[in-house]
Amino acid sequence: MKRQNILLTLLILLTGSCVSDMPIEIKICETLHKDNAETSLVLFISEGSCAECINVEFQNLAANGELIDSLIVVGAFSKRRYFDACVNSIAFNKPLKKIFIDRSELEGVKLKASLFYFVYRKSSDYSNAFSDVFYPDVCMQDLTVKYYLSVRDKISGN
Amino acid sequence: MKRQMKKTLILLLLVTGLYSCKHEKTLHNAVETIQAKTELKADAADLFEQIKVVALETNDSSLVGLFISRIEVWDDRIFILNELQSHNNILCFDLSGRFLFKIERTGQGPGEDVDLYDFLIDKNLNHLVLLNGIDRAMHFDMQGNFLYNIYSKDQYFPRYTVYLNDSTYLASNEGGVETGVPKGTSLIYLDARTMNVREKSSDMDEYSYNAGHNRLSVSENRALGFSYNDSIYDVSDINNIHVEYIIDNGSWQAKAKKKLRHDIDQLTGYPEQIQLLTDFFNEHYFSGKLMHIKAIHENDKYLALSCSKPVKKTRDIIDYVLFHDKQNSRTYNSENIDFGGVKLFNCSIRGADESLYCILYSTFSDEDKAKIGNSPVFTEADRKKLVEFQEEDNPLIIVLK
Repeated sequence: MKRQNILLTLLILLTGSCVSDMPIEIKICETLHKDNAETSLVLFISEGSCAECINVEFQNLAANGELIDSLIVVGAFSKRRYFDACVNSIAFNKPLKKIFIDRSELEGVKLKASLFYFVYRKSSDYSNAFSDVFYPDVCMQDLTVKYYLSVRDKISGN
Repeated sequence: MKRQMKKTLILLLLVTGLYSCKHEKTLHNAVETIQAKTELKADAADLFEQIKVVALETNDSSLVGLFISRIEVWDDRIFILNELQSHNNILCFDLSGRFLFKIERTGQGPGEDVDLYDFLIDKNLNHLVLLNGIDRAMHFDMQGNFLYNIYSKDQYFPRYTVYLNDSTYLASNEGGVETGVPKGTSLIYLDARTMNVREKSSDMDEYSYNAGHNRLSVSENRALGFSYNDSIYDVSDINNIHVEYIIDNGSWQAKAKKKLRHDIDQLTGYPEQIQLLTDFFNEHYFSGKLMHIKAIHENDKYLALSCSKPVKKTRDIIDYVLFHDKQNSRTYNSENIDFGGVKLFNCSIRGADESLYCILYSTFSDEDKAKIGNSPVFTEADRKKLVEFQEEDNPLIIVLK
């Protein structure tokens, strides 16, 4: 009986360890850290994002061109081509910084939304390098513009 | 007198019997069955007179996104409706695969639209016509220069539109929503000059009831449409829609769809009907039981059904094609066709004229590459394209004639 309990506990522990509770922001910060990225506004998009949602955010960013210098678009897709095709299709007036994450690397990573913004602060501790997470709503674009205004100072100078 | 009556009665029964037999035979002959579970094997060289490989140039401007939704070949150019994660655009290549231009205009100005839904080639005007799926047709010349917009005065939802003749486009309409076109109407003739509705199919016909807004196939001879009841209809004349083919994917599917139809009939609300269809699809498609046709195309020799299925181990979805030989009434699954030692894995057809344009998404294993090197099916130049095809390249187009 005792042995069975131990086996059961081990099984639960093993099963539990397969699913990581690492928030997606930390995973992205880890990637940005490895890439030696500067403090930036990050737009995360992924293969599950709705087309209109991505399109609307690209248009919002194009209309706020001063943010582009401090913007990094991070895309989690099963193929790099899917991400590049999506980002390259938008004509920003400046070159866009983009970072690709293979979607398979996000297996087990906690994903609250398939598209969101946050501020990445360059730091040696990437697990604590994100703030100002924002989940935009296609129907409330004025909120996105307010968000840009609220984070502008934090990302300026890069 | 009694004897005379008896004779007349027997004669009448005989004539009626003969007539009904003849009638049944005619119907039986007219409707062909496509065996979806075919296991017939064949060599590609025996099925196709010509097999060519087009490697679409891959550069920063010409990247194909998630899928190619539609291919039109016209004026020695390949036009592609490119489905990206964010939106759609049009890519244009020459017949050798060299990238020429793209139409990428997101906005509200002339020649711009946020939603590019579909496109067709107006062969009379020699124009590319981009459609936003609601009310607008944007005309471009063959070099991708914007010419003008046409706004329809009618309200409808054209989900797939084909060029029929100089003055008419045929569109499959999102039939479940009440618009200017009556609810349930799945096919409409559009005036090519105005984009207004010229004529609409009856909302009572069987095709309309079953079709939803599926893709159409148009060839020189006829237009075809497929429906949820596993039938393919000749829809060239929307006042005379009739079944041409029945797809047999086994008794389970036939029974399940019959029950589905019955259950849908019990519901009156469109959202409830769609929910039921979605639940049915999710339950049976991902378990591998339900066949899913995504597009049909035909040339002189073949009717090609592009289908998809889930892969249990990887949870990916892959495409395959059923080639139905119209002359010999035989059906071949692309997975059973030997292209000189290799199979075309994960391929779909999204365009046709005299040729069928087959899109190949998956690369070959090293073992298959070695076989391709010796394959007599392909020319030396094409063998090189197949062997050099990389995961991040644009998909290849295999032209089958």
